Amino acid sequence: MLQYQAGDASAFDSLYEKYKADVYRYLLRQFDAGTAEELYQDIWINLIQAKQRYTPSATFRTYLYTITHNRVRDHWRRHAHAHVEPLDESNAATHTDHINPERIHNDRQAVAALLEGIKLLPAEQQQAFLLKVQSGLSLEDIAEVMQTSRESTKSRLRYATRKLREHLKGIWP
Amino acid sequence: MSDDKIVKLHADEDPQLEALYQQADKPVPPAHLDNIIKQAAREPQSPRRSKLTPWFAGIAASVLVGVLFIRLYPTALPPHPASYLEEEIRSEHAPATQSMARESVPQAPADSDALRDTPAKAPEAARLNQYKKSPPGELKRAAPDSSLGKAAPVSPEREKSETPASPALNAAGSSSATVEEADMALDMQTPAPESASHKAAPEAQADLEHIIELLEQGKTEDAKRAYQEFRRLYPDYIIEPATTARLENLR
Repeated sequence: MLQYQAGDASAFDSLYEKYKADVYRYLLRQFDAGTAEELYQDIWINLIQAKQRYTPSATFRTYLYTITHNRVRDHWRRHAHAHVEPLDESNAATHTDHINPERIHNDRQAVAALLEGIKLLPAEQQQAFLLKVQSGLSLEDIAEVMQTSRESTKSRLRYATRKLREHLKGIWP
Repeated sequence: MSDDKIVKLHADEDPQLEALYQQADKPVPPAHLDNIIKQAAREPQSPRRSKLTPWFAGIAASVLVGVLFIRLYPTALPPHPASYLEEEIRSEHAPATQSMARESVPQAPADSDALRDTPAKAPEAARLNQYKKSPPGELKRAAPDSSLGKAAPVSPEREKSETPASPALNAAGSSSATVEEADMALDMQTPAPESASHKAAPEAQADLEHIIELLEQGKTEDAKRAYQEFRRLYPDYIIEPATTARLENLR
């Protein structure tokens, strides 16, 4: 990023190729394809515009996902959505009600059910989970990106995991 | 192992769940998004900033032009015609007493009145009003202040052309030793000392009329000789401009 900041456009290409898939999937797991593409473009444009303000205080991965998380959070604020529901244990139960166990016969179907369950998670749990399993961030990095404490991050991950397990209950071991 | 136990054991981690997630499809962003983003990265400025730049540039340019105009406009312009005319009128309307006090020259109130009544003043005032945007009263109020300053000099040519028939001019001219002295006397609005030429003014004017008659009759040589005689008798007599023009070919 520092090389790109200094005027080396090819440095940006390297960064982009390295992270583009993870960012895109991170968005695609939360939104429909159209919204994901819109947000994806905004995130990279924001990164380009902020290049002069970039300071290497954290890893580039953390910096990139901070921009990503902020853009997603803005999107949720602008569009009232079920994801802003307060954390409630009963939500997971209601979300699993509409899954038809008969449709799921193999791992592929389990994956589909998992992705569906991710989209039904509360926003904070959903993002914490995706930052971990999709983007590979550590607890500390997730806490930094989400501007919360490490313990809160662990709590969100714990709730997310439990709800997904319950979501897959009966169709995936 | 029950599900509850699994959740408690894994707490915030669940490797099996993560492994299941990794089996999902791995879509990549569309190629057109790649092109847009890479192109944006190569542009000198981002599109959002490029919208703001002309706005700021326009404001900055306007402010700069305005500051330069305010600072340079008064020095770049030539003096306004109104100010020149105003100064002339002030000098001509200045009270004779104050001019006298400055120059230590005896005052002649009649001369001041005569100058004030000069026919050339009306067109001059009209020209002044044409240039001035402020009401005429301002000029009148400014006159007393200008009297404290030195009166502006008046060129002889202008003085002669604008006051051809003034008796005061004739009186001043007939009493001075030279044309320059006569002009100076006019500028100071004071009469020159009386002399023999002043007393002989009617006779001199009659001689001039005779010379003009000779010219009108075509007797150029006789007129020339008569004029030479006239100059011998009245060497310092100031001829009126109108008469001077008619006698021009004799000089």
